[in-house]
Amino acid sequence: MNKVLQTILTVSSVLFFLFIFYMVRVKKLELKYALTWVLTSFSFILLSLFPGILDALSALLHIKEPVNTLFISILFFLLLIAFTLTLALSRNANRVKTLAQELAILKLSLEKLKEELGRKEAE
Amino acid sequence: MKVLVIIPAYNEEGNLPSLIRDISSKYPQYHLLVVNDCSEDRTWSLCKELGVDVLDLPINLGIGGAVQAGYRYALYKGYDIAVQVDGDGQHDPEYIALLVDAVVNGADLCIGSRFLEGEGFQSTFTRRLGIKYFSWLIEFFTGRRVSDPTSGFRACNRKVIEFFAKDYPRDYPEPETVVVLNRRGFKVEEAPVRMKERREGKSSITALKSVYYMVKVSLAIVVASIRKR
Repeated sequence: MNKVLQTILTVSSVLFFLFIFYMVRVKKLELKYALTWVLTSFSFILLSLFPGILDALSALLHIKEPVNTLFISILFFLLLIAFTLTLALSRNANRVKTLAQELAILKLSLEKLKEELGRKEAE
Repeated sequence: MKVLVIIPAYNEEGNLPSLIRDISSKYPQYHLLVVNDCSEDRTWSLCKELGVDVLDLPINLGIGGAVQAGYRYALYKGYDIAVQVDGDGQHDPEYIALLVDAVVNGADLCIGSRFLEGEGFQSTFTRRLGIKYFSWLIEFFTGRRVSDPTSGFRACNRKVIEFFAKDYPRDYPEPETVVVLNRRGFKVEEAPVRMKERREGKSSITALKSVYYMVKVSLAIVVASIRKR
């Protein structure tokens, strides 16, 4: 791999890793959802420090240019992250639905209770 | 026998009052529950004026989530039978008794079908075609013939109330639930009803959405047929 490209990749992936780390530290990012990001940025650092991994992978997958293997692996991680996000979103949508339903039932029960109390006091 | 009539409503101020008056005068023994799916019009205040119980959803959940809130309420308050009637006035309350009777006589879920006797409003040609297609798809996957799987005019017993409270599709739920209940061995029946053309407001399914609707419901039926029990 070209030395300049390698330097750019290494610096940016380390910065990216530090950024993720910082976001978890200030608790803006839940550790649970940060895991895929941590994994991703860590792999980027590994790949840019040891481009040999890319060459070996390229040979294994019959890809001519190692840089294409890099693109493919980035795509893979992006898909992984998008999928985990959709998973989390589905679960949250379900939870919000249940909460809204329970809240509506609670509101009605409370109203009925108030009415009953008012009636009893009037008697 | 405690019967709850669930009416999901989203911006139905034009249709609700007459529907509520109609149901409560015909069936004073049944309890009425309007599920207000975060309407922007006077649906909520109109129901309060009429003295009807309202489940007031804090966020818009769509028809599936609204109806499920009703089933959840029925579960908690110990109702034996729940009847679902659309808030748009298409379903004639006269037939509620027919649906309830079918459930009393052993059906787990009874769907009011506008096609069994072919009377009343038969929907538009394209919609009938769509419904025919769903009917065929459901028969293909479950082996059971249901003439009006998109009908939201239905009654069910305690067992189905318990099931729906836990597991109910989010949007366009009707055809999917027919498949799911069949696969779980519930007894799904149909009874002939008349439907009316909606008087006020708009249907939730517009021309643009109908393609999405067809694809989504088809997929839901297929998924429901292969889902783990």
